Amino acid sequence: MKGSKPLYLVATLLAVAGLLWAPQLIAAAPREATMGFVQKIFYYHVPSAWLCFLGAFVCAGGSIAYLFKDSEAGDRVGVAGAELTVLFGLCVLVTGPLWARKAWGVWWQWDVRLTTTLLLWMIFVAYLFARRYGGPGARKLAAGLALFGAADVPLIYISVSIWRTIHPKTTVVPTLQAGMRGPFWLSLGTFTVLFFVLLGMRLQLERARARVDELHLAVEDLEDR
Amino acid sequence: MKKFASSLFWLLVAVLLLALVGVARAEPDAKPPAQKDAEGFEPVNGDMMMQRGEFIRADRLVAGAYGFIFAAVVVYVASVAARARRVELEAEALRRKLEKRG
Amino acid sequence: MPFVRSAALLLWKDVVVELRAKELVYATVFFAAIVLLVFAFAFLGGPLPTVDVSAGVLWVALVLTGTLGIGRAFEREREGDTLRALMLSPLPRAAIYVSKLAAIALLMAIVETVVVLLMILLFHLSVAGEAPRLVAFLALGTLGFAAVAALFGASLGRARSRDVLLPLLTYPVVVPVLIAGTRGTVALLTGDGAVASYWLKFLLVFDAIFVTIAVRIFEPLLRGDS
Repeated sequence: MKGSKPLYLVATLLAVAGLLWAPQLIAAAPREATMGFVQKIFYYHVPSAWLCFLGAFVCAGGSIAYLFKDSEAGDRVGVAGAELTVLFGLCVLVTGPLWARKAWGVWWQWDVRLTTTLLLWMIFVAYLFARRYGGPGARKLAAGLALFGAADVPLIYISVSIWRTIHPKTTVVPTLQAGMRGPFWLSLGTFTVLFFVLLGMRLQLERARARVDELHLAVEDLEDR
Repeated sequence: MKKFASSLFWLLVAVLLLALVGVARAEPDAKPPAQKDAEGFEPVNGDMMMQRGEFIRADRLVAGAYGFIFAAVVVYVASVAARARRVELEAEALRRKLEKRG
Repeated sequence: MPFVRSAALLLWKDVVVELRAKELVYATVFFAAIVLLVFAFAFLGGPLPTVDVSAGVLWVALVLTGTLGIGRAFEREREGDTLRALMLSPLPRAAIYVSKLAAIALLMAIVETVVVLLMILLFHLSVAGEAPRLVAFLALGTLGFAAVAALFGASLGRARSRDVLLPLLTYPVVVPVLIAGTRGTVALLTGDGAVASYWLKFLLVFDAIFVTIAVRIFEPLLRGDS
């Protein structure tokens, strides 16, 4: 735990900064013309979505290394990425409906991006289930699922988008009013740093677990002698 | 470590409360009272799709959104910290075992 | 031994084993029929079902039956520990996976024939003239679904919750197949040729990507954790 204290401290400072300062900035940002106050959810909703997808690709990357090169580090990155995907995905899936309620009048409307996020989230929840309950070979199984999941994202997106679509257009970021850009990029920046801090913490935990496994083996060796 | 973790936890709870105060003080959408004009039409407000009479304040939704994200991150950090503590204890126990037989 | 020959041989082995036992074919066909009956009671209360409902029922019945069939097929493998024996043999790994996939596809083809016939009877499905393309949809959709489900079915090994884990892992991944299958079937039944062709091509792309990935990761997955 000694090595990880700095990281926990940084995470806390980030949380303090991000969640005290950002709301001030966000409240001061110009109100969006058509959607009003509730649009301010977007400053946390969109970064969460980007990080959810980042987590998925981090997990897929680690999984590829683990599957094809038997890289233990890859496996650690995989599980850490998956947990962050589930965490940030949950944030997207909760804040989305809260925004949708005001913007569209209903909690859920099978909008492309929310639906794709939901499916991605479910795939990575299944990843965590597979790791836990998949029996021997569970980690490789989960890694395979992560690979399938990452490859599936564009296909899910295309098929769902032809199926339904109401989400605000993608260009909501570039055409942000000048006053909104600052708080948005600040928010995104804070979230991204938070993502990597959390990733670091989680990787540290996995490395500690790997060391414990080695210790177990060492103890068993001693007992066998 | 326990002390550190629990003081961290309470600090984060304090931050959450402060943040919520900050958000609550922000102005919600001002709802103009619906007034019938000469022909009996009422001006529409922004929430066209919501049923008449149903009204969830926008600032509650925003606060809920931010609060949830904050809470989720805190819970996750707490979970990682708790697991790390357990692993550390296990490592200690194993190291002691090794030293005894060493 | 060359790839195609090994795969064909393994497929033949599976067919012969099934011909002797007949357990899997009978059970899955009967299950499909029961599922259709359940859907009939759920949806056929009043006026004739819409095309959307019929397409949906068809594909959900196939997904449920496929899950059951694949689960059962690999259960049988586990009982005889045949997968491990095959992995120990010098046969090309990809051939093992492809033969399993072909065997499952064959089983599903039988099931689908029965399901479509029953749907024509019970749900008044009118296939008129669109039969070849419907077959294409069913073939490609089944291949996509089976590619994913078979891989996971083979890898779940002796996990305790494997019955629940198989659908849990498979369904989110094969959602595009479900969407393409149902929307394509609806387009077919309502005469929208262009949309149907689009979804057919989509399924082709899905199958190409996922069969390729599955063939590639079959061995690392079955080798297990290092």
